[in-house]
Formats: sequence, structure tokens, C-alpha cells
Amino acid sequence: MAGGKRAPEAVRTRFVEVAAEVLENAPLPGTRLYWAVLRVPGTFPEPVPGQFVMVSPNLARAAGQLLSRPFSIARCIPDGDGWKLGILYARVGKGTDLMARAGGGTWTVLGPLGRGFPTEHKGPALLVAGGRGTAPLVFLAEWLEARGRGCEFLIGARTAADWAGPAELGATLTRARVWPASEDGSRGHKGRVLELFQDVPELAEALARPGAAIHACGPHGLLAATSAMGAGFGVPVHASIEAHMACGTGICRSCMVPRDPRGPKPRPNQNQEYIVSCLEGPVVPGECVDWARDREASPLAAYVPPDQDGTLPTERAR
Amino acid sequence: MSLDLTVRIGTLTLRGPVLAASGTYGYGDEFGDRYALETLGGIVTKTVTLKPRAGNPPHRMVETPSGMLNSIGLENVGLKAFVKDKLPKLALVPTAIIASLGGETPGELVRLVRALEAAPCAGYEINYSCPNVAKGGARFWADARRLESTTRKLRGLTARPLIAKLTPNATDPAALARACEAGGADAVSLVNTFVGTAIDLERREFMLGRATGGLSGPAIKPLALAQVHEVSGAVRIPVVGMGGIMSATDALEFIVAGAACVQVGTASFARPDAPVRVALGIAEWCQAHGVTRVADLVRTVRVAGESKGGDAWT
Repeated sequence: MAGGKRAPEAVRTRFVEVAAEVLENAPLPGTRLYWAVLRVPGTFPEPVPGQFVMVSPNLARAAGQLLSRPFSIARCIPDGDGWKLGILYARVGKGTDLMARAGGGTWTVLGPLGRGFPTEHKGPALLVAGGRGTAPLVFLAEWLEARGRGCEFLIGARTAADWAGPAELGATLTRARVWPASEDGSRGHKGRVLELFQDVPELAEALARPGAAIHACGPHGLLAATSAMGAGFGVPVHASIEAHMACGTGICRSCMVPRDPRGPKPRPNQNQEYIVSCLEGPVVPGECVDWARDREASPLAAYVPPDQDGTLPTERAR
Repeated sequence: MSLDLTVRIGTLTLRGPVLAASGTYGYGDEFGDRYALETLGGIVTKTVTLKPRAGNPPHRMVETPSGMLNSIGLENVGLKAFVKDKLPKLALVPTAIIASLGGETPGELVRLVRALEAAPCAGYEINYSCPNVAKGGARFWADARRLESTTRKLRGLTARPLIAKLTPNATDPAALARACEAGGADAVSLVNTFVGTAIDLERREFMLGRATGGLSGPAIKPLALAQVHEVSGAVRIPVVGMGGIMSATDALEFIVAGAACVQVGTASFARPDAPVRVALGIAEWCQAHGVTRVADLVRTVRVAGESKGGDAWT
């Protein structure tokens, strides 16, 4: 299947660490998601869609949080000599809980990091998002739009409360067509997002067109299914993967994702068994990942704030 | 006022008291020339083994309160690629490059030192303390007689500085340090990580792919400080202190506790220029406190109220 193709090599970006001013950081109305907009100065190199940043609110550092957290860049808007970066997140663990509580102020941002989505495909761009995996794909859709190109943007989620599209993140797109889906039917097609390729004739047709490419981001199960579907149709899948990551710069060797031995061959100087997701990804060809051995990221034990833990009766009734 | 930051380890004079710790700064060339690496005393490379190692299955890392657990498993490019691809690039790095060596047996360490004697590196740190491998890890090497005889073999092969990196997961770390000293080590470095684990309750799974890992970061600093103080009182060779150093203040605490110099590790994951920040901060603190030689600070900590240098352990 892979033929003579080679696995992607490590990308070392000219990343910088900057103090970013938080312009927005609040729940996204009607959802369980949060939206933050960070203003980074002109010393921050222009990112490409699919790249990520390591984010640490100063409040989190003051509270003793050791490591920054990786997030895909969801929007990148020129702002004077710098950029406004959009970050979409869910409050799933301790780090994101501190982000939600941090409100405004200054956050430390390290980036841009990693390998983004390839954009040289001439055929239809098919964007497949699951939940907050919509983030890097909104940036990609905006990037394509700015170059006169459209896309089919399929966005699935469990429920409407987990669903966000470009409009919800403030992106105005005229060339992208958004196809919503949700497992409970509260938003768009009821069912899984990949079913849209069967149910919607235009999408089935786009998938069959020469030069079509799928760009995907979302939970492990969606990426595995999308990669399998792409392989079945002979359509390349570029998946933005996720792993437990400490540094984002390639030195900690934490964020390894199992490599499919049947997939494109790594070079001799690369780890033969694992993909370094921060350097060789986060966007990698779907056929590079051994999805059966890949392990979904676990958030750290959901943090129960002491001031909100008032539901259990700890005192005897008198 | 001039400030002498140099530290002597065997035949080597380090230009400053801060090194980047093994496994936390790649091979030394990862950050190119973007940071002022000349402010560092050295960079200890990722541990190299005879053969390349792919490392442990995911997850390899989980953050814990004020720290992190890692289970990397000595992933490295192997001796051949280290000599051919990595070391030549490191010649351009403006600080001492100390190769960290890992072996499953004394014989493997002997082969590594022999192979590297002709290669351009300033010294060796022998990783006697990886907690994340099945063979040749911390448990295997936490044996004073084995440490002494192995260190003696290596001593016979090289005039370069030999630093023995020790595990904190031992009943008597001072005894292990004395064994290395008796075998001819020029310094001991400690602490490597403490064995720990984390659990995903909902899945009833260990978070780490290999169940346990090594704990590092600010969480272990008090444990590490106590071990550095104890061991520095037990040996005459320099102690290289580390364990949760995030700032110059942390580093200086290790120095007054007994460390001749320090290594910065986990902090580099949060900020890649952490070792440089620590090095600059130490110089600044010394200037502000009228200290002219960092060496004068080593093991100067006292028990409150006592005028003489105290030893909390005796």
C-alpha cells in the first residue's frame, strides 16, 4: 500500500517562547467547550494550519503546574505586527481546569511547533472533525479560503454541547461547506460523522474525485476509522494525532505513537517503532499509525475543586 | 568584582556549575544556537547504549502534583549513530559534552567507553540508575560491589572524568557513592528519578505503558536535597546534585547542601532555556551576595543556631 513512500521526518520549527495577552477566555455559548484568544507579538513566527503551541497560564504556574499543555492553533488572525491565536479547549483535566479559571492575564506560549497539514493537494479538501478536533481544521479552512480554495468540512460530536464549527469560532467562510453531525441528533445528521460520506451524494462524489485528500482531527476512534476509510477508497488521510506530551520540542520523548510496520518506512535515523508526535507530527499520514496499538490520551484525574465539592454529606445529621 | 564559577571534576574544568541533565536536553544540538549554551558547565547527552533502543510503550509520561512520571526506557539512537551523526554536531556546541552511557552489564559499559575514547566528548556519566528498563536498570546497579568493580574497570580505560549517576531508590545511597569513589569515579551525580506510578481509576489501568516510571520535578526536590547532603558528607569526590531544580534559588540550595555543581532536567520540558536561566541566576545571586567563588558555597549549610557546618544525618 505504502509503496516507496517514506514516513515524514522530524520538523524543527523556529519556535519562540512569548508572553501572550489573553484577549478572550470564556465558555463557548451553548457548549461545554472554551474559547481563548491570545495575542502574540511579531516575534512569533507565522504558524501554518495543523501546528500547535504549548500553553501555560501564569496562574497555573503560580499554582504549581509544572508542564505546559499542547493545543492546536484554531485560528490565526494578523493583528498589528503580531497575531491573535485562537485556542479551543474542553475542561477535562487539571491543566484545562486551571486555564478555564485563569480568566485573562498573561499566558506563556511556546510555538509554533510541529508539522502541519499538507496543502499541495489539487483535488477536494475533505475536513473531518470530531468534537474539539475541529480546532486545527478551522484554521485550515480559513487558510484555504484566503487562497481562493473551498473545502467540505464535516464536523461530528457526541451532542450539540460538544459541537463547534467555524462560525462558532468567529470565522466567516464563504467557500467552505459545513456538514454537521452528532451522535444524539441534537446537531445535524444523527449518527457518526463518517456516515455523511454515505448519506450525502455530494460528499460521496467529492471523495471519489481525483486528488481528494482527507484532513482529520478528533478522538482516537474517529482517526482510526477515517484512516481505514481513506485506505479503502485510496484517499490519503492526514490525521492530527494526540499523545501525552511534556515538552513539545522533541527532547522528552514522551509523545510517542506506535508506528504501523506495514506503513511508510521511517529513515534509519528515526525511531523505527514509534512516531515522535511533536516533531514528525502532529499531522501524520493515517497509514503511518498502528491504530490498534495506539492508546487514547487520558486526562489527569478530573479535578474537583474543594469549593465545589459540597455535595457529599460529611457531617452526621444531628 | 570577578566571579569564579568554575567547577573541577577530575581532569575537567567546567566553566560553570549548571549542566543540562541527561534525557532532558536531547543530544545537545536540538536547540541549535538559540540559547546561550556557553553559560552552561556542560550538557549531559541522552543515555546511549550499544544498540539503538525504541523505548517503552505509551503512555510514557503523566504529570503528577508538582512533578511528572516518565517511562521512556532509554530510547536512543545507539552507539554507531551517536558517534557518526550526533557527536560531530556537538563539536559546535560551546560547552562541555558529557556522554551518558547505559549498559545492561559491566561488559557493555566497557565496550561503550572503549568505543568513545577516540570520539570528541569531554567525559562520561555512567547511568547506573535508569528506573525504566527490564535489564541493567537501577535495581541491577544498586549493588555496591558491582558498582565498585565496574567503575574500576572503566577507570582503567579512560583519563576522562567519570561521573557515576546513582539511584535514590536505595536503602543506603551513601554506600553506593562510596563504592563508586573506591572504584575511581571522579564524581557521583544524584538523584535519578524516584520510582512511582499513576492510575487511571475509571479504566483501572496504570497510566504508564510500563506500569511504573520515574518521578521528577519540584515534588522530589526535598528528597533530593537530603540525599545530596548525606552523600556529600560521605565521599570526598564532588557531588553533582539534581532533583526538581526549577530556578537559581533551587540550584543554590543544592550547592550549599553539598553539590559542587548541579543538573537541570525536568525544568527544560517546561522551558527549553531553563538551564541557561538557572546559570545566569546563580551568577546574579553571587554578585548580589558578594560571593566571588561558587566553590566557596559548597556544603556550607548549617543547622539553625549552630555555628559549625551541621550534618542532619549524624
